[in-house]
Order: sequence, then structure tokens, then C-alpha cells
Amino acid sequence: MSTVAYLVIALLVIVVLALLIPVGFLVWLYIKDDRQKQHAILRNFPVLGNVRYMTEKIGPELRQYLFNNDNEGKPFSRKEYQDVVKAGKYKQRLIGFGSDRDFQAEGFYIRNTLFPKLRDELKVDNTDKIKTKAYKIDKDGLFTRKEHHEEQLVDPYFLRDEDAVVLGENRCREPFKVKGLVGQSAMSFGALGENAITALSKGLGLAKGTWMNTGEGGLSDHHLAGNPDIIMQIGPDLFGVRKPSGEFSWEEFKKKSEMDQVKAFELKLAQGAKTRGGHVEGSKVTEEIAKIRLVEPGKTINSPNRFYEFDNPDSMFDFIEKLRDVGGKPVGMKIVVGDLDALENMVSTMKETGKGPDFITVDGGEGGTGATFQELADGVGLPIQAALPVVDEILKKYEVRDRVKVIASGKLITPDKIAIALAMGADLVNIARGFMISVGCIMAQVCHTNECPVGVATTDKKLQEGLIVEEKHYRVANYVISLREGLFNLAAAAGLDSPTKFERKHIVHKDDLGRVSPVEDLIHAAKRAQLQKH
Amino acid sequence: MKVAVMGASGSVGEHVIKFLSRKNYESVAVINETNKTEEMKKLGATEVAVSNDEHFEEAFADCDAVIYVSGASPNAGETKTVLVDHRAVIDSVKETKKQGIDRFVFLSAIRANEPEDSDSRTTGAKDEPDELLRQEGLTYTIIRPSHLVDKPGSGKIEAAESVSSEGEIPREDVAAVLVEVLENEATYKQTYEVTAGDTRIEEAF
Repeated sequence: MSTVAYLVIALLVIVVLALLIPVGFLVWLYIKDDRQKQHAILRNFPVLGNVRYMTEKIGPELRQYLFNNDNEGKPFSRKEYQDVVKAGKYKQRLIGFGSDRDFQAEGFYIRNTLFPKLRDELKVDNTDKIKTKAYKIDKDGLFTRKEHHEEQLVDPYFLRDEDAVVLGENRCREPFKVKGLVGQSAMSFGALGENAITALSKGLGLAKGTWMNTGEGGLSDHHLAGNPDIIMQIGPDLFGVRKPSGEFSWEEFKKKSEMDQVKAFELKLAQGAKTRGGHVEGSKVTEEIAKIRLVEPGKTINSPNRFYEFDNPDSMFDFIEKLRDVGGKPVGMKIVVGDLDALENMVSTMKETGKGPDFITVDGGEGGTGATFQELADGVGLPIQAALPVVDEILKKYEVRDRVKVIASGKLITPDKIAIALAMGADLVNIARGFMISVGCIMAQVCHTNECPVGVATTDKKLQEGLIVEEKHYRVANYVISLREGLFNLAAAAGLDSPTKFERKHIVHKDDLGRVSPVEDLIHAAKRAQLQKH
Repeated sequence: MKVAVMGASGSVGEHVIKFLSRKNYESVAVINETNKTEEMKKLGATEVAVSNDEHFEEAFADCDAVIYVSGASPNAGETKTVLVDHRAVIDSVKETKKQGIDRFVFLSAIRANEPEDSDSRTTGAKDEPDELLRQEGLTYTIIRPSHLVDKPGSGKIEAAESVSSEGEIPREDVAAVLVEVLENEATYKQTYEVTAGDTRIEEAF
């Protein structure tokens, strides 16, 4: 046979194979779908039915990237996400052609004044400049964007010393003075990987005037890497301050409280996402994590949803007094507001006994980064804008407001939202997810799987290789500095020389019919609801 | 040596105060707004004078030199370090002479790439104050920086009669230059353009 004949035969074989293989595959799939007993749609419509599952699978990504409008996505819209990313990456918050906010919808607005403060009149401390790095865009093409990373010497926007917020003033040996209003909310090492925690630590350490909450997972070397001020959280399972038997270890606590970087302690009664105790799979309890948390490696942890040490305000306050006495540092507690009677009862105990926490961290029901059960995340606890004014009001009613600072959290990721929280009664604001975004989070919503595609909420070594600490830590610093700058912008607009001076009267609520009402109405409404319960 | 700094609260001025303090000069920070006093002290100013009226006497008393940092300020007005506000420069120069101070270091607001006849509020008629200094017979040094940027100072510059108009220079470095030339006799009665470069500031003049 000639070469040509061989070629023709080869070609025929290829064509037949090219046809036969797909047909064979489809037949196999048809039979498989038809015989399986799990999915009705596949039994009735073999092969074709698969389209449904495929589309459902890629739906979230399609919606996030293509079909949701800029204001739509949850928990954060594309716009909110970009506001955080740009502040960190470019240290830039300017927008063009006006706001995307839905002005028909109800919401809070900051009341500006006719005669705002001039830049020179602001009570800001910009003496200690910060050396950071931000991106500058050289050319923004359709398929490529050319940009370079550039050193910058930026104003830190610290509060003046006289405006600085002090936790535990006159109540403990070492009060914690903080010259900025924004810090990092509780995120444990283990929930986030070491690269993310290190980047956060270094960024916050660079920005100064801020703090890092360790989360209940104990204090690790990664938290200490950038030398930030640290609030160490203690959860019901007492990680990092426990004996092997599970009891509270005063010896370990004393050790932690003697560390210079640890500025305060926070007892976690509840948080937005987890109004139950935490759960960590045994496979995630590595040698390192076990050492930090002082637990057994490889063993699944199911934390209790309440401290064994106390079960009423009195016993809790005694515990807090002892912590403050032994540690010499401020002690606070983290709560989610639900039962207003219980809250009021606790605050009245504060007044009667003269005891109680130096600060209360109020987490909105919408807060929380953690892996948790849907019913708890969605259904339990008041959102921050409802909880905050009530907490502030109750503390004032029992005349303990001056010794109890309030830290608010719950999706407060941009200066405007923070300013509204400050006006509602917060002294300081905690942010978790905003900081996750600044170290690279793309909102894939797989925090609970250890498969975070950008290496933030995972301890997987391979995935973490994507997260470069050196690059990301500048974004963390830029983000927190931008927030502080934004707060001064808003304060000036409201006629205030410092954002610490925001009060209820500086914001109003506008409903969907355009009616404007003061924050006091919220408090009355909450009280009414509580009365009707009885 | 005690140095009065006009425009001390500006973005270059605050670095000037910082460097003066580092080099153990006494300094009087002349500012427009009382609110900035605390910040100036923190930066290391020995004294702070608020020039919210036309009087410099107290600020300049006992001083041995003046560093004049001009620059746009929102508080534009007479005798304030607005613009290259010619009146403000003239007033300062007069007061300098009256107080018997001889040394005057002037940061001109020149950006080399703007035309001579521009009436831009910050750089207009850029030669006028420079010319005045020459006529008044002070021991002046005029520094004309290229485009000012908020990068950290590198400590390295290029200084010459004329430098490339394309360049940029960190504000921190400009401030370091102003302090560096204070007692450097080689710079007396000279005008320099400065931009980022490869020579250490201490060796550039």
C-alpha cells in the first residue's frame, strides 16, 4: 500500500474515534443517569439534567462577577468589597460621578454642618509619619494593567493624646491607651493561617494606634510578629490559659499578662456568628495549634457555649476582678445583644457592686467571620445598629458609662459605617472581614472548609503560598490609616474637630418614605418591644 | 543657633522642624493656627509662634536665621505663608532685617516645568521674591525643588544651578536640604535647583 493509503486509513480512524468517543461517553452517561436513584431530574432527563447541577455549581461565582449589580452581593456588595481593596492597595478612596448608594432606601445619614472644620482646625496628630507602600497605576488597558509598588510617607491620622481612648482608666495598673479608633476584631490563628495572621500583625504594627484581637484560639508567635498592641481573647474553652485538665490556669494567665504587647483581655461570651461554642476538627489541631491553645494534638475540640467559671453577673464580675487584679491590665467582655432584660440586670449589678468589665465589645448579629451553623449566624442576636444605642443607653442609665468603653463590630468596614457606630455610642470599632479582604480575601465563602483559594482562612501550606506577607502587610496598614483619615473627613463635615466627638445628634435615620427621625426613636422602640414581651 | 521657620506646619515645614531638632538647633515654629501648636512641640520645636496677625517681632527675636517655607495654605492672607505670597515674603524679609538677622534660607515654590509668566496661585511670578532677597543684601540661599512628592526621604539628591525639569523629590529630602545649607558657607548667596539624585545631602553643596 502506498503512503497515501496509510494516511487515508489513519484519517478515517481518527474521525471514527472522534465521533465514537463522545457518543460512547454520552451513552454511558445516559445509562448512569437513568439508573441512579438519587436525583429525579436525572432519571427523567438523563444527560440534559446535568446542566442544572453545573449551572448551580458555578452560579455564585457568575453572580458575584457578572450578574449581581454593584450594590447587591451579600455579605458585602462588590462596591463595599472594592472600597476596602482600593483603600489597601492604592491608599485611595476617591470615586467619580457620584454615589452608588440607594438613596430611596432607608438608612442612617451623617448630619453635616454649614460650617465644617478646616483641615488646620482638626485635632489630629500627624507628627509621626508612616513609611508604607502603595500601588500606582501606570496604564489601565483592557487585558493588562500596568502598575508599580511605590514607597510613600503618609500621615497616620492619630488622635491627639487628650482625645485618645483609654481602656481601664483608673481601674487597673496598666490601662490601655489607644490613639486610633479602629482595630482588628477577634480572628484566631487556626481559623486564619499563619501567613494571614503575620501579615495582619505586621500591618497593624506598622500603622500603630490600633490593636489586634487574638480571637479565642490563643496567642501565637504569628500574632506577635509585627509587634502590634494585642487584646487577648479568652473563650469558654480557655485556650492558651488552661491547665491540661481544662481548668483555668492562673499561672498561664499571669505569663500572658506579663507580656508587654498584651494590652488587655477580653472574655468571649458570644460573637455574631457563633452564639455557641467553637468546633475544631482533630485534623486541624496540629502540634503548633495544640501548643498555643494548650490542648492535645489531633483531638477534636468541641468548646462549651458558656464558661464553667461563672453563670451570672456576680460570679462573672468576681472572675473579672480577679483577672484584673492578677494581670494588672484592662478586662472586657464580648457579647451579642439579645435579651435586653438580662443586659440591664447585668449593668445594674455593675452599678451596685462597682465591679464589672472595663470594656464591652458589642458584636452585631451580622458580625462574625467564623465557620458556624446557618441557624445561629442568620437567626440569633440583634444587628449592631439596633444593639448599640440600647447598650449605650443602659450604661448611661446606670451611670457606669464613663468606666465602661464600648467597642462595636458587625460589618463596619468603611469610614461612614464606623462614624455612624461611633455616633450611636461606640468608643472604638472592631473590624474582621475588612481586614481579611485587605490580606487578599475574595469572598469565596469557604472559610469553614480549610480550602480558602487565596490562603487566608486556611492552614493549608500550599494554599498559603499564595499569600505574600511582605506585600499584604502594607495593604493592612494602608486600609487602617485610610479609615482613620476618612473618620477625620467625616468629623470635619459634621463640624467636629475629632471623630471621638460623634454623638447621637450627629446622625439621623431616614425611612423609605423620606421621613427623618433621631436615634432616640430607636431606643424607645427597643424599650417598647421589650415591654410588650412581658 | 536659633532658627525661625515660617510655614512650619506645612508638609515641608514639619520635616524642617524635625530635622532642626535632630541636629540640635533651637527652633521657633511660626504657624497660622493655634491648633497646630501641640504637633509642632511634638516634632521638636523649641518655641511656637502663631502669626495670626501681622506681628513677627516676638517670633524672630533672638533668632540667628530664618527658614522660609512657602507653599499653598488654605489660610491665604496677608503676612501668612500662602502662595508664594510676595507680600508675606517681603514682610518676613523686612522683619528679618529689622531684627538684625542675616541668614535667610528660602524654599521657593518653583516647579521647573511651569512657565515663567504663569499666574498660578502657588508659583506665579516666581522670580520676584528671589530678586528681592538679592537686593536686600541678606545672606540668602534659595532652594528650588523639582516636583514635590510624599515619598520617604532617601537622603540623596542632585543639586545644581539647573537640574532636569522631569524629576521629583521627596518633601522630607527638601526639608533636610534646607537644614543642611543653614551653616554651609558654600551655599551663601546661591540659588540651587534640587531633585532626587545620587549624592548624599551632606556632600551635595
